[in-house]
Amino acid sequence: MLFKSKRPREHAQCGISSIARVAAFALLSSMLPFAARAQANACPSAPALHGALWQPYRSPAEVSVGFTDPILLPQTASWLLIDTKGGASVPIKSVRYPLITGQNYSLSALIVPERPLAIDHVYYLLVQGIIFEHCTTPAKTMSPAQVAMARPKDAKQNFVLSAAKGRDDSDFYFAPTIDGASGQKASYTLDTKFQFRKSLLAPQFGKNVPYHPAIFFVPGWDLKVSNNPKQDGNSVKFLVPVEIAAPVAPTSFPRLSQVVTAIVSQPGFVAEADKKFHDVNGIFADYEYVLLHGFGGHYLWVSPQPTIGFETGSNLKAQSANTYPASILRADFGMGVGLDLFQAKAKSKPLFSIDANYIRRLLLNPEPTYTEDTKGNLQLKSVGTQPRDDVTVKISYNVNSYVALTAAYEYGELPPVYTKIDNKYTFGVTFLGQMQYQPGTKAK
Amino acid sequence: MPPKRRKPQSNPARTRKTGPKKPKVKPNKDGRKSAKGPVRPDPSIAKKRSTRAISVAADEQLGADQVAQILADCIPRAGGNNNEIVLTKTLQSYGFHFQNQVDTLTSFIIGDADFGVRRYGFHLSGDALNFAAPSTTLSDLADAIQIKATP
Repeated sequence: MLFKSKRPREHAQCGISSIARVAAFALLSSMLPFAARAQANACPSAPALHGALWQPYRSPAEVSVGFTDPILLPQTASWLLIDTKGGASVPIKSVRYPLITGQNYSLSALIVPERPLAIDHVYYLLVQGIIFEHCTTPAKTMSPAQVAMARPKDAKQNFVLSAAKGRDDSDFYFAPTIDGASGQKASYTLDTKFQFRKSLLAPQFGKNVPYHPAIFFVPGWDLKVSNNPKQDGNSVKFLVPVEIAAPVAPTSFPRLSQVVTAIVSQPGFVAEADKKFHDVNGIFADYEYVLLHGFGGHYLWVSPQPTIGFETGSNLKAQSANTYPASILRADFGMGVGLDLFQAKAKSKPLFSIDANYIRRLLLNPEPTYTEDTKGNLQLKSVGTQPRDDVTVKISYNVNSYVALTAAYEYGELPPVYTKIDNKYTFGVTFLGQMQYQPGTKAK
Repeated sequence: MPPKRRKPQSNPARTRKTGPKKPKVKPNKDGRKSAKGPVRPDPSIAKKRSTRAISVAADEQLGADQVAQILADCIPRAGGNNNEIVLTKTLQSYGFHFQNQVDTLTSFIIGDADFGVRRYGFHLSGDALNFAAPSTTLSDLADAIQIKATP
């Protein structure tokens, strides 16, 4: 469906055959997860206790503690609550394992001590004999968990760094490249991105409460510049947008929420330019992302995301005279599809993930199309309103949290000069990071 | 260690000075006070409030059981799959492939009065879960919910 464009036939065929190769590669890759099916319901190798917390305000006062992996009932585990002041154990009155509502497993334990815990003492919780789901024997070694007695003081002060999946979900991205060859002048490319999200309005929805979408202010930049004539057109994107995420409340719209989970609107100002900045457009763009409910199973999950939008603005600097007879006005629609293939049910990350994005720009006013000569100079091909398409497919193989092997394919035409990107392949190793705001875990 | 001295619940001198509180009598629409005495709150409204916002003390935190329930309820409703909750897994493992989908999940956790933190009478700021990305593990998300949610 993605490739039913009205391009010249030879290009379309070329694109289809290329995509077929990519699809075949993906299909071949998908064999690996099914080969690993035997490991699918594996017993967790390193289960742990998580989030132990003394809750004196509950009746009765109890320690709640989570498990990293599900457990089935009944359980006959023995618990030990050690007071490090004196090293004595606190007698335990009762232990419960509340089931997740609507499920047959539990992910936590509620431990009621015989006497209240002292707020200035340090307690550790130990368990022996707990049997996790898919295991036949109790977990052998589980580290003791310190019981938090109060909210951490530094809960709002810590910034931590963690891996991001790709460029799109990174808060900062920095990828300088130097290309050189004997007898040629070196070329430089800088691909960088920074964004900061600040909430303007917290979301609120549900039965009997006023509906508020989530509204964020997301200032930043998205910049890719290069003096390499073989690189694709530059795009300088200044983000001055407001992002509005409108979730579909399941209780208010039960049927609609089974299909659409949210609509995300991302309006923003964009300055788009070719790689030599000879053609520059100032654009206001607004894209609406319709988030559809994903589908699939344990080994394969598909996330569709249709997009509609518009772009309007004017040409600030033209490569050739009279190529913009009117203001810029485009109606856009497209589709993003995310596909994840998992090696095994117990694995925390997908083995392969595929990102496919298609966008068609319908030009309501004429815009130019350029071709590029061997020296990288732009040659005007035509001025018209024919639709302009762009397709990108990315395949990632996750080596670990910070490193991924990637293969990418691109075909299409991008503004402002719409030089054809003709079956471009990219292979590489990606190192990614994301700036995250996360509370500390130090107990008071 | 000596037991901590507790602060008295109320100031007795002040109570004597002001005297016992008189029950407030709400006037009717026509301005006359009701002969039946003080207006009692509608029990149906009180019941609704109690189910929506369970009364909580100042520094209460969500328990591990409540956080697990929130994740189990919000993940499928925000577009993810119905797989069992395993805290070591990433959001991508539950079908949150795009950042927009993750933002939707955090909107459900923060804002859904029926399945998010609000169901337990807790509140999270709009920025509290901004760090979440497809590569974020559920344990990181659970930690943030437990530590940052306030009554």
